[in-house]
Amino acid sequence: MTGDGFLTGTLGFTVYLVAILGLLRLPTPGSPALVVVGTAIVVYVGTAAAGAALAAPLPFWAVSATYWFLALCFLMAFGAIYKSISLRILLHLLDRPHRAERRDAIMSRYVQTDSYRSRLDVLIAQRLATRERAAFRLTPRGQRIAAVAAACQRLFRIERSG
Amino acid sequence: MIAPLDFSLTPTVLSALVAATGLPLYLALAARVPGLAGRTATQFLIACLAMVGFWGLGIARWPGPGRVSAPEVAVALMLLGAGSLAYLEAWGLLSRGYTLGLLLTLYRADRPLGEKDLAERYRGGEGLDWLIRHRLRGLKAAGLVREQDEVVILTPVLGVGVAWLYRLSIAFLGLRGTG
Repeated sequence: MTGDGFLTGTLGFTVYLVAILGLLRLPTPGSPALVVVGTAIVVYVGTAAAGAALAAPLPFWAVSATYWFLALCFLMAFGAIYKSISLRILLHLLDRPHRAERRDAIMSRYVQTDSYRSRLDVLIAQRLATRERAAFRLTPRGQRIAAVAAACQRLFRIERSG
Repeated sequence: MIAPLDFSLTPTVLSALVAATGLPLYLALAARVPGLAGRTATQFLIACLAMVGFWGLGIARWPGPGRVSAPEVAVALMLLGAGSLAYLEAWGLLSRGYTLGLLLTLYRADRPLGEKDLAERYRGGEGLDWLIRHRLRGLKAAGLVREQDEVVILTPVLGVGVAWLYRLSIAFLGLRGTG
């Protein structure tokens, strides 16, 4: 019963982890973030279907709660590993002589060039902005998403992001 | 019940679903409490405590057969946990997202912006300098780096340890790039 749900959810999460470890090593199109989120949804549907076929009637809420709790814990950790500027700074310092770097060099590398340029590339790749004669302009899609984000920020009294 | 999936809900689990669905509302209310302005982590904590509180109230008030069982509580807690993590991810993006911050800077500008202008206007004019100051402040507070004469230095145990853990995590996941 509920135990079957816990087991099925945990097995589904294990399949998800194994799938992710394989997929992230392949030259797949699209960002790793889309791969991990999309795979989570696909594996969840497969888990529910397979579990129901093998152990009917399968407790839906126990399977879903277990799978998504574990998957979301992983996704939170993945998000930090994939996107965190703070962690990248630590890694950069690890490889520097005396594990030290001037503050302005960190600024130049991680904010003004490296991470900054890659984030601008993301905006263009996701069709949220275009570059016209060295200036960036939002696309209609970018305008819509920005409008929704701005409204959510107002709702939650978040003054600025970053 | 749609065979072979059992969708039936106990009051314990139903209360968790209802309480978790309300988390954005608790967050919106916590953000309006005087004295909590700008204290986003505290707002989120209070909202989560409210969510758990409503869940408890739901169990106490909702009529249902028999006693609350441990497996039901486990399912309910995982639903509350999953809901919290999902909202935390979205809310973290809204409050700390770098790329989203750039998007919103472009949105609020009255004209297309070049790289330099965009960097200067980031976060309402605080600029990208703010980003590095904020991140370094966090790293220093966590004891992962220290600063001396404008030089940032990794701390020998905690900083080095976390950096190595991060390196191993990237290798384990097979990520070809980050950031």
